[in-house]
Amino acid sequence: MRACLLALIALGLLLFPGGSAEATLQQESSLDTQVREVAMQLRCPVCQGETVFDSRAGLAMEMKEVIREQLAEGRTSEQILSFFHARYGDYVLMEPPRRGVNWLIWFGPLILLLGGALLLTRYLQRQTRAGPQSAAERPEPTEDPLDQLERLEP
Amino acid sequence: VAPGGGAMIAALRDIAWWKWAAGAAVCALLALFAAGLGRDPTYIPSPLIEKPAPPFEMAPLDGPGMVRLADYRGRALIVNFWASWCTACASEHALLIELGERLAGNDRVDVLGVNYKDTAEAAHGFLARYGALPYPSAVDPQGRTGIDYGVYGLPETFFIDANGRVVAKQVGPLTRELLEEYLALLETRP
Repeated sequence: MRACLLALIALGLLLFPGGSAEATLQQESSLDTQVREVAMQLRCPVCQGETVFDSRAGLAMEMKEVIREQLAEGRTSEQILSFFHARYGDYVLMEPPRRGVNWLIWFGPLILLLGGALLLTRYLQRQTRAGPQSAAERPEPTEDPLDQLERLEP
Repeated sequence: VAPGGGAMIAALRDIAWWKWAAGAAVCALLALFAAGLGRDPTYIPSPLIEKPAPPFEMAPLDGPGMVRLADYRGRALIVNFWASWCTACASEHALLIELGERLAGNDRVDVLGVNYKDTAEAAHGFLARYGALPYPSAVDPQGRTGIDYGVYGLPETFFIDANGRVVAKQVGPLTRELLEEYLALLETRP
């Protein structure tokens, strides 16, 4: 068994020697990495909540091609993001720009959470302060409830 | 004020301010969610409205030469993105033929079709089946002009004024009513 495994490894080393092939592979993947980094920040316009990188849709594939071409031309990722932003608007950015009403998206949930926590602490404070006292000091019913009922009916 | 009314107002006044604030916040949030439910999540508003129309240069579907945005300077232009594989395009096709015939000979408004991500063969098949368009079409086989215009779902129609500004964009098939509205909007432009 072990001999068999060793033979396989030896065969693998013979067939796929390291070195030059690895170097070109890395060179190619450096542009791929850049394309991925940009495509991950873009939302596919024909999908629901999927990045351009993840999508196999025709439009997303073409957008990846545009990203690759523009990177090859030496444009920065910011320039490429603003290229798509000018054409598809805020929708196309996975992270909406932090301005105007978009602040609500970023901080709305936090504000709601803090507001909820504030209300909860207030409520609990009231309960602990008022709870035992009112139980102890609750006045004994001085009147017969039936009398009260009669008074309500003219 | 009715006898019960005064007591009610007093009772309302006794409610702490923060309870009012919490109630208002919950109501506002519910209103926001209700408004959100009525929206179409696939609709992408175009940032091109009131901006200069992106220039283009495409080969025509028929004939030689090139089709450029600059060729249309001084006249309003309606650009309709269509494709043979787009079923919704067939539903607005008769209306587009009618529009083209209506605007033929008109020197103020032109119409241009853009055959998007299609082949000439399939496009001609579509035109043979649903009727030839009375205006020219350019071809955008890779959809690059489409990306420049922020196209994401066919059919899409852009209304560009004589100064080359995008006045409006229709996503989805045109109807007679919508078309009249867009044409009236174009008319308001110099």
